[in-house]
Amino acid sequence: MATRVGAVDSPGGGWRAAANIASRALAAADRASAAAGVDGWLLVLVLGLVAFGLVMVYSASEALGYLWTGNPNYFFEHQLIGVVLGAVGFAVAVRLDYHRLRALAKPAMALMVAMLVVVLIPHIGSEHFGAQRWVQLGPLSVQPSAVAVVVSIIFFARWLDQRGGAVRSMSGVRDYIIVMGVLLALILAERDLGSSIVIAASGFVLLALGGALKRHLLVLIAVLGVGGYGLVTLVAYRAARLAHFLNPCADALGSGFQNCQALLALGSGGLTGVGLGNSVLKYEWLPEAHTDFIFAIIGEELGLIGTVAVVTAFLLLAWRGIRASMRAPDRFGALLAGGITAWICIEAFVNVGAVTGVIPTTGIPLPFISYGGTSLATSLVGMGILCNISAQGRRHGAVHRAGVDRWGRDWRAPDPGAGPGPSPAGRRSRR
Amino acid sequence: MTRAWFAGEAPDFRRRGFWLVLAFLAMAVAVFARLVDVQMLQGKALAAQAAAQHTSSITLHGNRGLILDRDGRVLASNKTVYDVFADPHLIDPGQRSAVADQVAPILRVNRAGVMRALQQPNEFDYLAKGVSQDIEVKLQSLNIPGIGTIPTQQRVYEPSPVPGTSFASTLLGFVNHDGSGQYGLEQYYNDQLAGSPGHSSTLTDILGNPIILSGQQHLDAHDGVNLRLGLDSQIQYWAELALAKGVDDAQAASGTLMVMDTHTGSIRAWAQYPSYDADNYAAGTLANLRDLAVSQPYEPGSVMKVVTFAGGLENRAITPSTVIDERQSVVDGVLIHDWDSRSHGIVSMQTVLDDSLNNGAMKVEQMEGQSAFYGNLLDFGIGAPTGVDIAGEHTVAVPAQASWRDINYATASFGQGVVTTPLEMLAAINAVGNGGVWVQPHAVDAVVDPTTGQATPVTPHTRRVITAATASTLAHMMVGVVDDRGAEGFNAQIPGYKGEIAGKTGTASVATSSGYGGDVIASFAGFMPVNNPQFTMMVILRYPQENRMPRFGALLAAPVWRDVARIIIDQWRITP
Repeated sequence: MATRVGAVDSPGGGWRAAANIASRALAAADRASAAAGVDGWLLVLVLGLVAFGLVMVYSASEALGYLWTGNPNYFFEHQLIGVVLGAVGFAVAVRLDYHRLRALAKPAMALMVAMLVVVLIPHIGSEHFGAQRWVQLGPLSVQPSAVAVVVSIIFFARWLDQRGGAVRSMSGVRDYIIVMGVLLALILAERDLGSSIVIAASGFVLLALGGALKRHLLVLIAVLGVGGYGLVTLVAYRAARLAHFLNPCADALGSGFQNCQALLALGSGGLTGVGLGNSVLKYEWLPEAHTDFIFAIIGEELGLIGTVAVVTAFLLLAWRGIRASMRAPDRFGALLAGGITAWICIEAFVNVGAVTGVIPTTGIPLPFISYGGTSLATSLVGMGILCNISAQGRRHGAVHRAGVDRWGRDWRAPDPGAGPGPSPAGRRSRR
Repeated sequence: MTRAWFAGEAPDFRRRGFWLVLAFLAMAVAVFARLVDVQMLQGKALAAQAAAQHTSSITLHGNRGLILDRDGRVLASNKTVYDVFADPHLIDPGQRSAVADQVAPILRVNRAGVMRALQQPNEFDYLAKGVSQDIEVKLQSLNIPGIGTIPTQQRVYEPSPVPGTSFASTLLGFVNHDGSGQYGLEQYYNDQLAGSPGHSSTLTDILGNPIILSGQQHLDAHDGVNLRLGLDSQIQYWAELALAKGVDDAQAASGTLMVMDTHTGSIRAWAQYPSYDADNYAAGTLANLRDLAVSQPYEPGSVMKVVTFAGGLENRAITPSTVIDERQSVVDGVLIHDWDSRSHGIVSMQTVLDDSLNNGAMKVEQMEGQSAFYGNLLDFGIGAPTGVDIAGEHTVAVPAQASWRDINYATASFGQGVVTTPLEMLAAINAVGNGGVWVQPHAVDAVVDPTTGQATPVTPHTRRVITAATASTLAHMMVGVVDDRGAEGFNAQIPGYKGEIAGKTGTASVATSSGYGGDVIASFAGFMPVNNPQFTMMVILRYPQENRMPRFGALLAAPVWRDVARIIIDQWRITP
């Protein structure tokens, strides 16, 4: 697919080719979902996003790679490493029964916390753009906070699954919040607001899916809102970003520079874009054009059609993810699937929202697309887990879960991948 | 177990899942709305803003054309000079004093001024403008961050033998700091000299480096044309010296000297004193920048009698031997004086011209008739622009004939009460030398394409105003003005050229708010050799303090005319 997209020369032909690819992909999705246990939709969405991401990383980083390293393919090649690692991680996670993650949750969390602490120790963690996030492992620099998201989702899904009804009590929610708070504090100590927000939001979604009482959730929303606002205004550079996020060009040479350049890129793209590879803003005008702000380059090169397509892809991913959660064979699977879906989609929103100026900038990559191996690999591992849950849900043929609405009416068509299940009449009974 | 927990532990799991989908949908809708806003609604404005920031457009300037004399000698050319600027932001505050110590002596400017500029909160301050290349090289070799130079083109002129002025300054004009020609030829031909600027625009990265693969828009600059003048630098050189000496000797306020080729109208010399230095025009006074020859109308005085006599002869009202009873008379209640304030009795027309008798000239006008006289004035171009290719020509039209009274005709016959520019008068006299054909004076002989070298000659307007016979008769009468015993123009005599020099003196009283005061404008206009004139020259001295008396005012200009004429005779090998 990547080669197909890269080969188009005229915009019109490009869109025709894209439509062609999309229809083929849907057909492939059908076939995949029919044959393998894996959700074809998810598979195609993830593969498509990763391939598209590779193309965009190449386009956005070519000039930077040449300027900074002399090699225009520098970032593309490094991203390929991330794709390979991610693909391995994805393949392993798809085949690995997600139930076995239960046993991994605690040690992984312990290791995670240890790494987060290690990163804070000078000389081990390296500072980059004012954020202390990286740890060097041989030739790879790993960003522990990016791994922390997937680890914490596994950990908290297990936590909620194990404690069951406890989450409906004040004390249950309190414990959850304390553990979550410690983790967030560690990540905030690395000045990684973006990851903290994603973990907090995913944690909140897990809590809601886990069955916490409405009033607890509402109080939590209020506390998180006030706390988040306080946190943002406490840190000076974030306050400046906040002040200008709606109209960044008002301070185009100061704190609004990056966001203003992002809007200029999006605006330059218009409806159909300036054409793949033709961005001008990527020539050092837009900082982080290949990482956190790659969405702006997509908007410049492929226009509104490109940006809407990307957002739609994440929306479809949300739908398939939550559908997998609803159909998961058990509570742990449902929570895990919901948490992973929330993580990816919230991360996408926090990124796209910041680039378009809907929300303040917090510094987080666009999943699957932004340059950055750690983020890409962990996202793919997350998708692997999600696919595994989805596949097990189908095999399990658990008909009662998502298809039956709150009034007990079953509106689903028979699931061809579900295998032999209860008779249609049997499906109607809720218990 | 897998089914039970939905009912027992989280009965609203599906509902919460549904809310989650709704939340994601809301996020997507918010992003979609914003994308439509940014990419479609604001798209054009943002794209324009982006283009403005990353499109770099530079203007390419063509070289300004050269101005050459008739022999191809360069009178106005260009050289590259440098404006020196400082960016105080790039200079460490602790280093500024040291930088000022280094830079000030090289630029030959005040150290305190440099220091002041370095302490400005600006990012750009000029330290010096128009420094030469060797200074620029020295400055660059110091390699001080925050000190930079911008090359600019500066116009360069030739030195004049007269101190404080440049060569042919009023004729050439100068080019100001914006590159725009001011006064003279530089202004008149500015658009052609400047050429057409080109531009080059390209997409750049944030540091301003062009993006190689991007499309470039490029339009070549075209160099301006070269102007080849009719100016004779040798004559011009001596004319400037002679005029300056004449003005100083006469203690006059200013002087003008013009030489034109009698037949072609091409300007051979063009001097004004005092004048200015075009290389340092800012030091000149505004009054000296003006070219008085084209822009300052005056009452020409007796030189006008040539035009009056031309009319009289052409209309057969007089012949050179016509005799009149010349006496001071009253017109419209005004007593018309002669220069010696007496009547001269029975005199010939030759004597009237020789002795410049006002009442005699008035008689000519009366014998000719008012309408014919008025028409003749217009024929000679009095009150009309000559159309000379020198900026700033300013003329005053002759008032409508209906408004003229007898006194106006009377005074106009001897050049009072009617105003002309010096150049108008020169062109009128020249018509007599040119066999009765008025020819447009012009400075540029040819416009030369700098690339092909192709020269486009300038063709002046011409028109016949009197017959060749009349012109010849009058020209020989004007020889008498120089050669005849007791005639006014004797100062223009050149040994060996008796009978060859035709001229006429003028001593115009200068009108003040309360009638005519004591100031005069002395002039002499003439051409030679009379039978085939090579040049027509006019010398004007304004407000001489020496010999202020009417008759002797005329004596001041003729020697200057003679001195320059001698040079021309030598240079052009004019044989008797």
